[in-house]
Amino acid sequence: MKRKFMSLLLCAAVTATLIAGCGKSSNGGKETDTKESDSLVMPVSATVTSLNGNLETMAEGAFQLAPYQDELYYVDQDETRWYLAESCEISEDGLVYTMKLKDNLKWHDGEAITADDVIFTFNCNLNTNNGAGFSNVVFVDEQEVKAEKVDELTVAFTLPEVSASYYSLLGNLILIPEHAFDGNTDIKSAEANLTDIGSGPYKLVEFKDGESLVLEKFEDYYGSEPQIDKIIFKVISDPSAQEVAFKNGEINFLAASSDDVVKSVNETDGVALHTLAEGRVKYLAWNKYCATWNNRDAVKAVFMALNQEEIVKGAYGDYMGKTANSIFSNRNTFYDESIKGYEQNLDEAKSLAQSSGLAGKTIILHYNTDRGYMEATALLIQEQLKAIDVNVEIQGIDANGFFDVVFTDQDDYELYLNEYAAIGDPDNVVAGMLDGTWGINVDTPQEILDLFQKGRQTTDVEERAAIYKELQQKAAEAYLVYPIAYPNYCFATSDTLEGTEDLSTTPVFEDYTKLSFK
Amino acid sequence: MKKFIVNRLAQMLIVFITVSIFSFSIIYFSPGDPLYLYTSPAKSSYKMTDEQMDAMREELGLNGNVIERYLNWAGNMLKGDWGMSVSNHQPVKDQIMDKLPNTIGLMGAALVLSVLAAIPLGLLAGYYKNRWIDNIISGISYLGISLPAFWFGIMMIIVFSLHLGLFPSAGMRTVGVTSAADVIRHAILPVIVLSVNNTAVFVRYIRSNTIEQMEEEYVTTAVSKGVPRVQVMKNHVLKNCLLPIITMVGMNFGTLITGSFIVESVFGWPGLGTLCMSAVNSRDYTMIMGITMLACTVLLIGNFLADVLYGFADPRIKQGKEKSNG
Repeated sequence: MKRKFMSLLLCAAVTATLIAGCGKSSNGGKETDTKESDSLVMPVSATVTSLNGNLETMAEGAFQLAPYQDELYYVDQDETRWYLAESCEISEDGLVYTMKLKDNLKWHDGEAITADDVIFTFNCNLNTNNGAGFSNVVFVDEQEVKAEKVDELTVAFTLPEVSASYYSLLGNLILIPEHAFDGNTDIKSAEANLTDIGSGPYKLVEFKDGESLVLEKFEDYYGSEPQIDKIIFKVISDPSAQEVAFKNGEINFLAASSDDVVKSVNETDGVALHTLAEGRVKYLAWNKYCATWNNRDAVKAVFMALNQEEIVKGAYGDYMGKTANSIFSNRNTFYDESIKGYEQNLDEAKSLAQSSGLAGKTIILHYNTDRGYMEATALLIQEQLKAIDVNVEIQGIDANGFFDVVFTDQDDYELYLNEYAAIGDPDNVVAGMLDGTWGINVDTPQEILDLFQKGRQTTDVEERAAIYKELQQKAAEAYLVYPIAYPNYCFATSDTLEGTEDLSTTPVFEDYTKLSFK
Repeated sequence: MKKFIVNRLAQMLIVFITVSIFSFSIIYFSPGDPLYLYTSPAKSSYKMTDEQMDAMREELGLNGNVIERYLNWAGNMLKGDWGMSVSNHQPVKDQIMDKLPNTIGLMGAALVLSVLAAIPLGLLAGYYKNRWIDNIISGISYLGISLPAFWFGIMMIIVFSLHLGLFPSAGMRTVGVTSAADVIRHAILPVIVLSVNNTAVFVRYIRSNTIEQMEEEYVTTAVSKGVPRVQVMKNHVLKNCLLPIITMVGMNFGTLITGSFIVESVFGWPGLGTLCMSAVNSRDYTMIMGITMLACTVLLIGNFLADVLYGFADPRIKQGKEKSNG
């Protein structure tokens, strides 16, 4: 009797501890099926830290907030697609941008979206204690942009100097409702950041930090009516577990983490595979502060020793990337296909390595452990540089520590592998990486810095194209950095999902209203 | 006993302070900057000026040297203020308390399962020492000790979720479903994975204790007096074998906590482990310190309770402690 009682007690203990994990939700309420065809369930490694696109800091944040909040407009390589904004006129002197919102826009709580919300969002970004957010919309070269309400739907932005990339940067701005924050621009700790402050085609149903973000279609959306009822982001942090969940139907979207995953899901019935250029550049850079490179022939020796095809094939496989030829990505507005990349010439490389004193040395290469393909790329570089008698010591550093170690004026390492977003206008991140703003140890010749400056100050598109073509050519000739690969974003969906390739931008999907199930 | 408890509490306090100093120093001196989240080129192409960065540091309490910052943090902790998360500006305490029940649920269930499984297996292996049944149990327990939790977790997912379709592969509940049964269904695989290592350790311990007890003179005497071996086992050996389990449970709390971090990551279980992982990636020192000190407290209390309970359960230990404490 006593034993039976003990057994029962222990069983109860197991159940009780499990139920302890149920928290507030163990109320036996109604059940809904996430596998039904009207829900798109997508895995994420973690939920967003904030529902405010101005504050969200996670890499996956934009992916999760895409269906929930709209940009003003999106400037692509060959067109501008309009979302909250109806138009954006630029004055002849290139200093005033007059942006007009569409009529009858609504926040998810039903309130109207007006020019006051634009001004409020602008002012929140002026308060840099909130973080970087969209500070590239409120500052141009450290000087303030002035925003002025013209009427209920129109705002004029006056720049302190001409900045041709401002047009595309302004388009990316994510508006937030003034009324939800009671007009207080110190927004970083506001409770409103975890409530529905969206403007996109899907509104918030439930946000469980660390578990899921559930969105449902917003009936009052200004654009086309969304065709899928629910968008669910579910936390499955382990990539292998994501793959299993996709294969057994728990989720119907999978972003491939490797070439093997692509091949594996490609063989699965009922699956459609999609590949988009991610718009990033993966590159190898050399540290100008390091004495190893005092003789620039040493740099040439390294560039000439590398077999780019072999590196990309080995690290990225068949699907996940292609060889890069320029410092601009293949999704950059002014990308030029005709720029010639670096070619392997082992004999010349050996000779230069000998004459420059590089041969026989051990050099340090840092890479970011949180970025895909970096480790494999580093190993292949290590292997290939053995051919010119250079020993490479590889040191991986996590994303947060990487820039602390690499973007310094220290001379204690020779090479690093990095990547940057190069989608859209080249005056955005690309310039910052190479003009000394971020990558302070890149030895950019004055001639190239001048071209960046000229490109920034030129508003005529054709003129800009010519400037940036010259810039890309000069960068290649100057052995500025070695662009290795343009990564692809490969994702698999159930083959019943349509509209996935209507807009080939990343992070997916730019316009969720185009998605539907067959 | 009172003196023993006071001494142990004093030791715990010293350990607690030492852990806090070491943890804080490690975070402070490791490369990386919590501001990276807000100022990286991935966030905005605009690079903040030094003045803007300083103002932000001041606001987030990131100014000052390691001693100033540690004292500031410790002072606030003493007042019950765990600080604000650097990454999402929400109170650290609220976020930890929100996730704590999930981790406790997982750990508790795994612990109970470990003890329940280990007792009969350990006793059987010890009783049938070097026989086939012992060889099988010992072999499995060696395997259990050696299995990496992340690998075993993935294997379990592939077998029971992908191929057999018995359990969900990840998460704590199906989105939109609010029943306890659904949580239990999601918990089964992670609980099993988390309990394997501890079960194996407990089995080894109980087995060797059983063998030791079976060789004691009181067992030989009882058997020679004609008491059936099964009865000797049940009435005498079992009691003496199980007492040290109390200590083992206390000592293995650390493994359980670290194990839960890995298991939560593999199974997407929304507990302290996943919270801590993302805090480490973003150098969110207030969150890392909050979770570290909570884990440290749980570990210290677990060990303390094990010592005290053992004293109560076995008067010989209690007397020994009293003697050694004067």
